[in-house]
Amino acid sequence: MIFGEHCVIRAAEPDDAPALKRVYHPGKPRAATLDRRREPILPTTDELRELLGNKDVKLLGEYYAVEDATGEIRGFCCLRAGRQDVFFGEMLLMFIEDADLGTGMAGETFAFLKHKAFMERRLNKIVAQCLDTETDLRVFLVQQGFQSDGVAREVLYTLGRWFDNETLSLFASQHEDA
Amino acid sequence: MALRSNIFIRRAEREDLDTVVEWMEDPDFQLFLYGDVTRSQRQIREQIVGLLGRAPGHTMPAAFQLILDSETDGPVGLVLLQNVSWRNRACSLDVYVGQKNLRKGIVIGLAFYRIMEYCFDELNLHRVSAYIYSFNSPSWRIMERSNAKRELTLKDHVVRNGQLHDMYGYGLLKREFDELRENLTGRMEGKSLIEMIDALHAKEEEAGA
Repeated sequence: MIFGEHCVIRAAEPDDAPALKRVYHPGKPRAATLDRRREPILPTTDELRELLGNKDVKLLGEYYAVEDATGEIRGFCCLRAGRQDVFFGEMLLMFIEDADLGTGMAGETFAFLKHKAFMERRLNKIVAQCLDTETDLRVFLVQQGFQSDGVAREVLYTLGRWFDNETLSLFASQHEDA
Repeated sequence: MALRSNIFIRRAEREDLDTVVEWMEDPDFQLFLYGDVTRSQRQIREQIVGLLGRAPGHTMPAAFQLILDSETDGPVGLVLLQNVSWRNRACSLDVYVGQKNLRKGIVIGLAFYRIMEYCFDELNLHRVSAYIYSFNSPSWRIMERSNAKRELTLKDHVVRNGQLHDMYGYGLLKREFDELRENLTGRMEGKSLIEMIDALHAKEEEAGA
């Protein structure tokens, strides 16, 4: 458990499934909640409970819950870096409310993931994805030093329109703590 | 001048297994496509065995395995349309050509054209994606000549032979392929996917007669 000034970060548990379900909002697509075919998924609470307790999923990248000072879960994060022949990790940063991306909670959560990626796992870079509607997330990532790798056009169809998906990267060498 | 090729595309059969496994043992297969060092040959073989000839015709499969075949040379390559999303009308594309002398030629360009016709005209897809390593210039040049856009440049993304390499992400939308088709009007006469199918049927009927 990491006690920060603005939040507490701890390994997510099956009982956190109802809070995680709030991230999978059908009216608000997020790159982090798409499957490998870039399709939005609407898991049930039971499925999420299973996911959070699954040892194989934890090996690929454990989910962490982010709590505020009152103990309420405000979001989740994850660093996916499973395969041995890759030297990067994919960061998932999912706050239930976008406004939290502008607070100290997001900064502390990112610092936690960054330390995990560059200091513990010795990864070469962190990759993050965002849809064209996730403007708050993009602003946050750029503020943290991420640079755009480009935009995949019209990858997701939902809510009656096409969505673009941007990939951004932060290299260990770019970062002062690395 | 019309472009000529005797390459055709067909579904992969279980009988193709030995050929596909042979290709997989080619170091280039590992270099250009699936270089996950943690996977054993046995695991890859099991995956291929599981894929070939599995999907019944009435289902909506998440992947298609096609063979590039030739009347004169036999099977020359493997086409994998993977992560097919029927919702997004999209898929990702991997192509492996076993015969090295065909990798850069017009033959593969035509085969690629037919694969795109299959994706857009038969499967009704909207977008085809391909991830290609930067050192695989013959492959990404074919994408660029096909009107695909290089959308992503993932720097230092993959390790091959102890070195980090960039990876390019390409996207080809149906409207972009249609533009290419318009530009090639005349040159592709007699070489489209539907004409290839007609020719194959005619040959089968001739053989059966």
